[in-house]
Amino acid sequence: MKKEKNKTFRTSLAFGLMLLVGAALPAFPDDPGRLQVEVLGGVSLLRPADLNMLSQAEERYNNIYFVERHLGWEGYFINDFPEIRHAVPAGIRLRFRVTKALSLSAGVEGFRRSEDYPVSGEFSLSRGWTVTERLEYSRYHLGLEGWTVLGGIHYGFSIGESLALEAGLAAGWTRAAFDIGLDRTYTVTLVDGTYFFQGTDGRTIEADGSGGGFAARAMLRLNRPLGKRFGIFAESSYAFCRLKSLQGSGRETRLGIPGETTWEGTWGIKREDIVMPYLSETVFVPTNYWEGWTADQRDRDFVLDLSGWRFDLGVYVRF
Amino acid sequence: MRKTTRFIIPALLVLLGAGTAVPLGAQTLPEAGFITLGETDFYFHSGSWSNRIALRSSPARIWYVYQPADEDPLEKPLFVFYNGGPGGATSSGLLSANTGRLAVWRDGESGASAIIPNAASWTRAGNLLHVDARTTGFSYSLMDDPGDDEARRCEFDAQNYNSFIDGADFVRLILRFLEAHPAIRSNRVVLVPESYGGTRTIVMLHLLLYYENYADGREIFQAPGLVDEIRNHYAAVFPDYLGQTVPPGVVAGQFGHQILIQTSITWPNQQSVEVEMLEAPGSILDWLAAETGVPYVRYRDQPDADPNPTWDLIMNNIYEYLYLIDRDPYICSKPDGFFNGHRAAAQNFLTRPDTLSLMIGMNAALIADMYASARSGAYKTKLARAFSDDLDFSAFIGPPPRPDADPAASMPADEDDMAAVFGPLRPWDNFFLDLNYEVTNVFAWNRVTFQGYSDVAFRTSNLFGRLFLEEAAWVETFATNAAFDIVVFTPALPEALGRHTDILSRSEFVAAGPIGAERPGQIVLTYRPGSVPGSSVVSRTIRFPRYTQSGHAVTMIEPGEMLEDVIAWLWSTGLPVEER
Repeated sequence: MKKEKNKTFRTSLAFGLMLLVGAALPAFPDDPGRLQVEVLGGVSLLRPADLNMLSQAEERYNNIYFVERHLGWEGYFINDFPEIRHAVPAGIRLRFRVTKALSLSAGVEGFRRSEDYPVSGEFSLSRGWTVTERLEYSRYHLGLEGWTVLGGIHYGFSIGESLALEAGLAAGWTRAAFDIGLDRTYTVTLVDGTYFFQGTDGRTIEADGSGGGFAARAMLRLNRPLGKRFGIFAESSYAFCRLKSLQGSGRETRLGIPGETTWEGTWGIKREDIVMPYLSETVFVPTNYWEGWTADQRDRDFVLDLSGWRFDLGVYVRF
Repeated sequence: MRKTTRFIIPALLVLLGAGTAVPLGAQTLPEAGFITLGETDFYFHSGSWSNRIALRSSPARIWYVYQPADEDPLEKPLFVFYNGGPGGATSSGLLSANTGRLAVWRDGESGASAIIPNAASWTRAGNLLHVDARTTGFSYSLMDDPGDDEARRCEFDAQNYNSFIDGADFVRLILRFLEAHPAIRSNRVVLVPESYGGTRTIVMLHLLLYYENYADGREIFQAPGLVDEIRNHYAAVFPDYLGQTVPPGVVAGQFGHQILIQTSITWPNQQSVEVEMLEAPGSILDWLAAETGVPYVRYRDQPDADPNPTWDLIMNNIYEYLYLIDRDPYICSKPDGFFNGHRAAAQNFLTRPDTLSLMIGMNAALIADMYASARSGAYKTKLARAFSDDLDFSAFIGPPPRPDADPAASMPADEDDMAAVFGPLRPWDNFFLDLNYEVTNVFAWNRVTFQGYSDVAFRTSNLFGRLFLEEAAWVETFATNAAFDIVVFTPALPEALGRHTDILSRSEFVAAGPIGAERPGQIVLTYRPGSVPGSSVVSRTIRFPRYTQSGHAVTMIEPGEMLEDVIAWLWSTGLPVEER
């Protein structure tokens, strides 16, 4: 399965490069003004909801297992669990002007975004004796990266002597990957006169997923020439990209248990019906672990949604 | 005390020697020793795999004593005996209290004690296996570096001590014992717990009857490795079901009988009903007040009474009254210290190599794992030679210890005699511990119960009552009803079970019956339709005989009566153990 995905990715990359080369070697070698290279970068307001669901689930777990259980206890959590809400993409685009108004493009762009925060909470209760519970995530990590090959068509016209407005559509293939990681330690201490109890529990979980799929963008931009060959532009666009059937591996280690548990699987959303003596609640959590009884908990497919508004600035050079 | 035994021991050794003169094969001779349980992985979950609490138990050597039946041992059931605590030893409990061939006798007034032949030996009914739980009695645990105080302290936590891994230990031990004794591997197994051992039995039977639930996420406790062991056993014993889940009704063909001696079953309900009954006018406490002339002041009439007391507070008030009138909470017809005095006497015999050999029916010096040289990784206690008596957070069934009453009671016996034969042990190890408080404490408070898994704590959870009622649909049950046990006040049991209204529509105590019983008494359970998975059970009857002279340890006071009742009951359930 993984080999097929890699093959698809390589095919897509080769196709993109052919587009670039094809555009770079047009049938108009004597017309340097028809070829344009653009470098751009900006902000993408993507919100991968299913990936961020991990943080929401972790926060909910802590509310269930700590905050709501500890009614009457003193304590709080430091820091919220992070979510990915934007990325800083960059790319390069090659354009070929077919007519004065119409041009074709091929480009490659990518981004890498990670959120790392420590999160901790401590709760205590004193009634002659003192119980203190501490939950600490020394590492809570979400990482996301994506590479997109796009071919596009653009239509532009002047709106003054030094400005041009341009609209465009592009479509292509995106390859994306994400990874998560957390190091969590729980410590409970009971002190009652001479009696002392301390228990520690800890775990490390790392998992990743990757996949590819269709991507499309609708763009609107302003061009500002700076001489004959150079110019700058500001581009606003909406990107559509929803990747499904992502595959990945996972690893877990537990404090006091040598070795690690490893697995591979397709990402999905798991339904967890949590039953505690003080409450019952359903939590949805993304996972690719489907061993044993957890296989029955699959609620739906995991969708890595990279869609969202995007704002770029760039420079171009014409040949 | 030792003078008495000096005369009796040689005579008994001669008797035992004569008894073993006719070889019955390796599996029909008395034996004793340790079965090593390796590490095992398990976890608790509440529906979330990622938030499960995954644990790995440490290796341990579990002590057992096996006594084959007097006649036809290959045809007889295996009775498995164990005491409770949790943290209490069986060797100084049931093994010494009139269940095996020999017993410890102690005069309550003079304190004199001796090892005597037991006229009510259960070897008349079957093969006997007495087991000390992990890190209690002779059983000891293992770790890489027991001299590391911090590492040893961490051993006393949920990975080694909770009601589920405790029950799993016993299942593993029984299955391994049976595997090592193929001639009786398919024989019926009758579980005989006392006190907290009832909760252990609940876990054991539920693991055995509904074993797949413990690997498929259905139960809070998941132990895939243990389930594999159970599957392997069933593949050998029930070959017709190879590749299938063996139904509970079939499993009960081997694990289908339990004999509960004053046990915890649905502990919060039992305690709740118990305090209601004991605080009611005309209770046994009023009878004691009339007998002693010391009035009982009920908790609600105490000057500093909490208007909404827990049952713990009320029970402590009752215990204080019993101490005031010098009565033993375990048998309130006797002076304070009667019950523990017997255990202490047994401990003294068990910690001398000669009398230990006598009790176990073989030369203890032949047990390799008893030697200090085999125990480099052994430990018994969290603190070296310093025993905590603070049980504010204890899971102990019974009154909290009173340091002023008998400080030595919580300390291990003098083990010089044992050390002379087996070698001196390290400070954190002991040959024998009657009650390991560190174990008792951890059952109540550990990193699992702290994290909201209160169902793992038997003292407050209704889960165990639910599991018991599910099992009782398949398993024949005998439960003692002793007259003088205040610690586990069994008259409360019928109503306590009836509080599981989601499973039962009725739980009724029937004073009469069964027909012909010298000590009548039954509990009739009426089930709600469909309340037990896989069963269409409507009604079940628990044999509930009244023992009018007994307290907590029924076999200690009325051994012959109980054995007769057990044999008659087994016969009535289709398990004849002798001709009638």
